[in-house]
Amino acid sequence: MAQLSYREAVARGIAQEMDRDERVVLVGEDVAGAGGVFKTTAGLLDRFGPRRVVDTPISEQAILGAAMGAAMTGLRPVAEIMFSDFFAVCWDIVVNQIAKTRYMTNGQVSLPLVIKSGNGGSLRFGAQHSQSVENWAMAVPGLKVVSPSTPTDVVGLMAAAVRSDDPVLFFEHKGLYSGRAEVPDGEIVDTLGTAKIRRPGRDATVVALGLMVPRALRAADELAGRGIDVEVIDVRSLVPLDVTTILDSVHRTGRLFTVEENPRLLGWGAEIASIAVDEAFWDLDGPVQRITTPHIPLPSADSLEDLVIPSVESIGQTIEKALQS
Amino acid sequence: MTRQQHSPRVRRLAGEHGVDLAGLRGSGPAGRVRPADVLAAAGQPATPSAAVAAAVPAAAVVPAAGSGRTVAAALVEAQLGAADDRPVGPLAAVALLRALRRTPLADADGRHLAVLVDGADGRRGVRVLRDAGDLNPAAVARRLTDPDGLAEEASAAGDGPASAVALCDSAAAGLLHEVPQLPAGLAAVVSVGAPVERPTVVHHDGQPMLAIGAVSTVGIVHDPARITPAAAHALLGAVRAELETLRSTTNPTTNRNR
Repeated sequence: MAQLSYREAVARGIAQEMDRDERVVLVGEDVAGAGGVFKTTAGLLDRFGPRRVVDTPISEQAILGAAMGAAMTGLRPVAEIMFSDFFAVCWDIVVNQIAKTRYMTNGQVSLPLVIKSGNGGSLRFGAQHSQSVENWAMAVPGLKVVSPSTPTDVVGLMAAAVRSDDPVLFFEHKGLYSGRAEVPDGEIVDTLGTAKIRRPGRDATVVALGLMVPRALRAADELAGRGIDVEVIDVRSLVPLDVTTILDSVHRTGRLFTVEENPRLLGWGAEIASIAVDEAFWDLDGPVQRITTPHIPLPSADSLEDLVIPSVESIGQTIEKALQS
Repeated sequence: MTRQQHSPRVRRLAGEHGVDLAGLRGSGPAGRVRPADVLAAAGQPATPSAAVAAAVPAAAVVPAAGSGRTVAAALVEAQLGAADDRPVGPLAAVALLRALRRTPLADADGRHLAVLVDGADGRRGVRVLRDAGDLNPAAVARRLTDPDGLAEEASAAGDGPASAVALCDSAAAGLLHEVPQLPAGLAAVVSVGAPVERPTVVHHDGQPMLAIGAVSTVGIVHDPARITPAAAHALLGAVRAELETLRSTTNPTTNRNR
C-alpha cells in the first residue's frame, strides 16, 4: 500500500496500461513535456518516450481526430481534453463520429478510445472552466461515462476504460486532484458499470458522483450524530449505470436523494429518480429529492461558488429536513 | 379533517399485512404513518433485535441442538418455467434475501444469508454468509463452496446482526422436499426441493394450455411463538414469487445498462 494523490493515480493507471499493452498511447495538450497542466501525466514521457506520449497543438478537434484515427487503425489511445468545458469545441467528433462509428459500420470498426478530462468546480476557475458536463456525455448513446472519486478507483477504472473496446469518457474531478489515500500495490483493474456503497445506512439512500461523494459522506457523518443513518452510494459509472445496487438500497431504505454537481435541468440524478419511480415506486416512503447546483453558469467568486455547488451543510440540511417532514 | 397521505411503501406494506390504514395512528411528524408503524400493527418487529443476533452464531458450522419445540410447516409449489441447468438452491437463497429485504421478519432483514449445512461429521448446523444481500445466485453458490469464504465469515463473527431465517437447500441432495428440524435460535427455515418436470397449465393470450414446466416445492418450518402463521405464509408466498421471477428472467442480477 502506498499513499497516492488522485492526480498521481491518474498517471499510475495510464502507466499500468501502457506497460501492459504497447498499443496504448497518450495524446493531448502539454501531457508530455509538462506532465499535464494538472500534473496527471507526470513521468509518462520519461518512462514511455515521445512516440507514445505526444504533445499536441491547442486544438481539441485535432486531438480527438487523431485519437479516433489511431483507434480505428489498431492503437488504444488515451486522449486528454484539458478542461471538460472544452468538449464543446470538439463535440461533433465525440457525438457524431466517435459515438456512432461502431453502429454505422455494423460493428466492423470499434473505437477502443479513452478521453480523459478535468471536470467540475470548487477551484474558482469561473463559468468556462468549472462545469460539470458528465450529463452532456450521458445523453449520447454510444459513449461510456465514468467519474471516479478515490485514487484507487481512478487506477482501476482507468484500466477498465483502456481495456474497453468502446469509447469511454473519463471525468477526473479537478477538486479531488490533491486528495490522497492508500492505494493497493500491484495491478488494479475495476469494472465499468458498478457503483459502490461507501457507507451503509438504514434511513435513506444518497447517491453521489465525483466531488459530491466525499461531501455526502461528511454530511452522513454529521447526520449520524443527529440520529439519522444514511447510506451513501458512489455511482462511479453513469453509462453503464448500476441500477441494481441503487434500487436494492432503495428497497431497504425507502428514501432516495441524489447529490449532483451538474446544473439541475436534466442532471444525471433526474434519470436515476425516473428509474426509481419506475421500478421501486412501492418501496418509496417519501418523494425522491435531488440536491443539485442550480441552473446557472457557475460564478468565480469564492463565496458565490460555495453557495451554489452542493456543500456538506446544504446536503445534510436538505436530507434532515426531508426525513423530518 | 384533512385526509392522511400515505407513502407508496406504507400502502404496499398495509396491503401485504392486511392492516387498515384508516384506523392507524402514525409515529412520524404530524402523525404520518411510517413503515414501522404498519409492521408494528401487523405484529412484526421492524428491525432485528440484538438478542437474536447474539443467539445466532455467525461463524462456520455450529451443531443444531436437538429441539422438541412445536413447529409449524407449510408448502407451496413454485412454477419455474422451462427446466434448465441452474441449481435452484442459490436462486432460492437470493429469492429469500429479496423477500426478507422487502419485508423484514423476526430478526432477519435480508442482509445476511443463513443456510443449513451438513458438517463433515454428518451433523447439521447453520452457516451465515455475511453481507450477502447484494449477491447474485452465482456469487452465493461460489461463497457457499469457497473454503476462503468460510474463513472470512469466521473472522467476522460477532459483529452485527445475523439472520433468524435460514435456507435449507434440499434440492442439492436431490430431495423433492424435507421437513428440517428448526435449529435453536432460528425462527424459521425455508426449504427448496429439487425441480421436477410436469405437465403444467400456462396461459397464452389468455387461453389455458398444457406445457412442460419445472416445479419446485418450497416449504417453511417456523416457530409459531416467533412468527405468526400468517407472516410465515406471506414469506413463503414472497419467496415463491421472487423465485419465479428469478427463473423467468434470463439474467436477472446483471446490471441493466442504460
